[in-house]
Amino acid sequence: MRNGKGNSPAKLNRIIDDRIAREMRNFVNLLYVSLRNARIYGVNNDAFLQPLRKLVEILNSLLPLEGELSLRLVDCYLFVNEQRLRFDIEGFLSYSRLVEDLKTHKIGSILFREALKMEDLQVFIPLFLALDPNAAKPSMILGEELLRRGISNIGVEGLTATNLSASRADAEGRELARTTFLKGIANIRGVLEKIGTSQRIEMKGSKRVVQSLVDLIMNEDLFILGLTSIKNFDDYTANHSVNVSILSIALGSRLGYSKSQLFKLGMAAFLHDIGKVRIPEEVVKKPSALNEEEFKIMALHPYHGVIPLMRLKGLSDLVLQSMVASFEHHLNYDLSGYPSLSRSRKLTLFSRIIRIADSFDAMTTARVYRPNPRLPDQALAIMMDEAGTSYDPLLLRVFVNTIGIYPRGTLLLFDTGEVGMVMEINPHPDFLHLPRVELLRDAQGRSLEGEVVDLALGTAERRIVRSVFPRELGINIIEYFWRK
Amino acid sequence: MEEGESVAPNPQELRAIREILLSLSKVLKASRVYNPDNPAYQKLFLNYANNFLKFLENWDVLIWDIGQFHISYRGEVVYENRNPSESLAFHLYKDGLRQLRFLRELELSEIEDFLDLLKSSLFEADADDDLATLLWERDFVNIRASVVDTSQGGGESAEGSDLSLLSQRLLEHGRAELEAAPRSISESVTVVGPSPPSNLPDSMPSFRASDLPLFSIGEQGVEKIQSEMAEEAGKDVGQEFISLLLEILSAKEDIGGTKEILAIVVRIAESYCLQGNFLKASQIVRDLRQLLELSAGLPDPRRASIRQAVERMGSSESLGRLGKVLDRANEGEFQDFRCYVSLLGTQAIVPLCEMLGDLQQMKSRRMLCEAIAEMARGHVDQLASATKDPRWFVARNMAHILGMMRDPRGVKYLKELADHGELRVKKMAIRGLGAIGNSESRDFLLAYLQSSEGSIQALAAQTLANLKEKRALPVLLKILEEGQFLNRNREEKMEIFDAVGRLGSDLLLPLLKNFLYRKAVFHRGRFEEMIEGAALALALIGTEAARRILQEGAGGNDRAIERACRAALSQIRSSIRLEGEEMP
Repeated sequence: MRNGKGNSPAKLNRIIDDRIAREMRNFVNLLYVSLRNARIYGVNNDAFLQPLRKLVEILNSLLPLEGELSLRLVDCYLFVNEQRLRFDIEGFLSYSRLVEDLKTHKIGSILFREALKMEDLQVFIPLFLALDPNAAKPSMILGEELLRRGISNIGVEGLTATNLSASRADAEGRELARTTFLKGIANIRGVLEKIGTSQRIEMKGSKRVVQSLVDLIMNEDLFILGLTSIKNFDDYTANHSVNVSILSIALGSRLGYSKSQLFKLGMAAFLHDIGKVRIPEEVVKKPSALNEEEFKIMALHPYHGVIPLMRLKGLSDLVLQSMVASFEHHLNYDLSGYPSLSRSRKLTLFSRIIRIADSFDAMTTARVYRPNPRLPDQALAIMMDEAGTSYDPLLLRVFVNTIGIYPRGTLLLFDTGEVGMVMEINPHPDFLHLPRVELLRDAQGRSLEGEVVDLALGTAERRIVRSVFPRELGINIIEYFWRK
Repeated sequence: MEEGESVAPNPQELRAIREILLSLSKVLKASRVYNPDNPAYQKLFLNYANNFLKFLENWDVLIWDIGQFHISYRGEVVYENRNPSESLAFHLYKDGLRQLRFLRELELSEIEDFLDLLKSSLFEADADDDLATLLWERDFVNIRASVVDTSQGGGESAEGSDLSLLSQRLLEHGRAELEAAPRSISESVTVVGPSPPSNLPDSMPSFRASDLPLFSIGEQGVEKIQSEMAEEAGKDVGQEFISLLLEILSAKEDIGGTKEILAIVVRIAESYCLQGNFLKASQIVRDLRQLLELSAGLPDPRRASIRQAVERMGSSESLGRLGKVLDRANEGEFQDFRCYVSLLGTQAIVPLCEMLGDLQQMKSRRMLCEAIAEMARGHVDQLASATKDPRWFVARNMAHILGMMRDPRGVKYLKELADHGELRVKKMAIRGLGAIGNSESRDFLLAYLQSSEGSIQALAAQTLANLKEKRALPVLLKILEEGQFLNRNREEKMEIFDAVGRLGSDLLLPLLKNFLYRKAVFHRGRFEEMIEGAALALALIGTEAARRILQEGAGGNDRAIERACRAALSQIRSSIRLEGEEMP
């Protein structure tokens, strides 16, 4: 059962509206800037005091609403009053640097209470920065020093195993992700069948699926991203459409799109390939390269995708966006590709996003005419080479930052002979290539029971040799995701 | 325990909730009968809203647990109705809703929007979205819904609705893939101990740490993306869509759906017109015409369909809806409208003429007449049917248009209009004939000098004088000398004398002098009008001799003659001053 926000009913108490979430992100950003400027300019400099003033203002506006404000580190994520903060590309740097600061100084959480004064923070920040991480209990030292100086409305707790534990989607979230994934495939298959028999399609079911995907991704339940490593189930187009929708929403979420925009993006991605129904099966499933005539037929599917959408009742913004995306999704960034254009046009952001997601999923999926797909990192490498021609270069970078160089579900072979599966990408931009993995096989090839290692910590211990296909190691990736 | 759920509800709470649900039912029923601005409806709405707000003030949160035919609050049933067609609970339940939570900070706008969503999902036949979807999209801050997916109303195939079956198939797919796949590494890798195996494939990761800057976005990159997002948010999606449809229409291949695409294009253009945005509508027509001109490779049926689409936009059905829009339009918008209709081509002429009867504002009728005159240039015959419009004001406008056009081919239509039953139409037609001024129209005008209607005769005289048509003079003189002329009204008399004066010469001086000095015992007033007229005619002849007669009269003893002559001389002086000469 899901609620309108994708949380279980038990979490319904914790309501953060957009406005407050924005303020909380500002708070985190200003805290980071204050710390940084204190280091660079010193605590008497205006460059430090200015952001500090704003920080006090924001804290004092949030505190009456929230009662108190706790900033807590869990793994690589920041929670403010138990609400995990979602960051877009703009705030990501300050977010990840603050995470680093907290880890370096071994602080697991900071608590702000009552009405704060500027002087309180002017004392707190230098003390925080001066903490010796090698001391026995730095948080206790800091806490005692704060009390000694008469500051009782700021409290700290040390870094514990809980702060560092890998956050995993809870069981309910994983179940919801699996259900949504399957429903998506079933739904798009139904849509394709209706188009194939020239019936009018309905959007209710598709909308519910995409809404669930948006909820999952906006709530950072990113288990769903791992499911995009499932390929070719049932009908290629159906599985592919769901994957592209998930990847597009994830990229859109990182860009900072609102919920309703993500929904439109997700729908456009979900429906981007419905035109393939009109292409003869012998062309779609041809086991070798298409000849010129066959390619011309295939190149019509962007057009064919527009027509059934046109027949929907009411030409809403959502439907219009979907039509544009269906038409444009095989057009390259430099407008090469297909269909050929009679005049120049600027591709929409949605189309450019879907192009990236579509290409990535297609490259990493075995096809009749290409039984050996690319590994995810190989696909990204190829795509990076084509940045600026086939793909929007900026969006491509955001995409890599979103899914990681080794996306969730990628199997990695280490120089120790161990094999691990990527559980989460490392959110720190400097460690994009060093994800967090669950070890599946030891050096002797024996199955392991879920030890999670952060490759960014202790890099000397094991180095990635390369990514591998699950089948090379006899690993059933679907079984893995379905039994978890 | 959830917030607000710790104790059993008290009777007051339950009563308040039942009130809310009752008032909700009432306002929903009322919405089917009354408009939102009806006072009876508004009273019911306010009652419903106040019940909600009062409850939340006292108890912080309102939770509805939704059963198939009932709604309960903390275990107590607060609503029940087993009739599926009437039951609010059933309606919520069938859309997958299992719980609704209304929070303390609930705002009036949210209460209103919630009601609107309910109405939409209850009363709109063939609604595309169920209530759960609508609630999700609306994204209330203070209303939370718990939903189960009912797997209905979507595109799921029959098998797809059974998820456990699908799940099973997925697992089988995974096993099948594994069995079919070759294994390479697993056979080649045998690792003993912690040292790296020697037989690992000699390959490196696709990316190294040194590649990481490739993925950095940077502040400039962030700004660029945000600026694009903002720009796109402000874009007219309709324009994007039109551009897409035109792109599809320009495809050389036969892709089908042409008629549907064009129907939508036409609808959008018409929609722009109804909004008064003729600029955008014009662009659509321009693009369609360009498609016809430039896209030689287009299949013939498609070209024919595009032409038909343009014709449709110029049809009575399409243009006929624009009366109110044009009445509201300012001059700039009307210019855009003229541009739009000119792009539609001559087939729009007749519908435009029909519109003349719909416009209320004189200004908009005038502008429309100008537009039609411009469009019909060279196509006068297209106006034929409109000249026969039974509405006299339309017929008059048509006469006005024909006159503006000055096309000799319009004479025959003006002749018919000049014989119209309505005087105002006749007069406009005569003016029109005068505007054309060719020999045919002059002949008709001369005939109208014989009209039994005095005002027509006078107008014809004026018009012929404007044309300097000397053939009118003998007829005019005859009119002057008719006994009945004396009894004509002053205005008509002046118009005839005016025409005589403009057409005449010194040859008329004796006659005019005669009129000047004619004595009367009875009907003195009328004779004085004759004197005035004669003086006017003399002034208009304006020769030396004519002026002498006037000067004599101005110096005479007869007051009426003196007055008339002085006025006439003054008129001469004024017109000379206007021409820049000095009068002795």
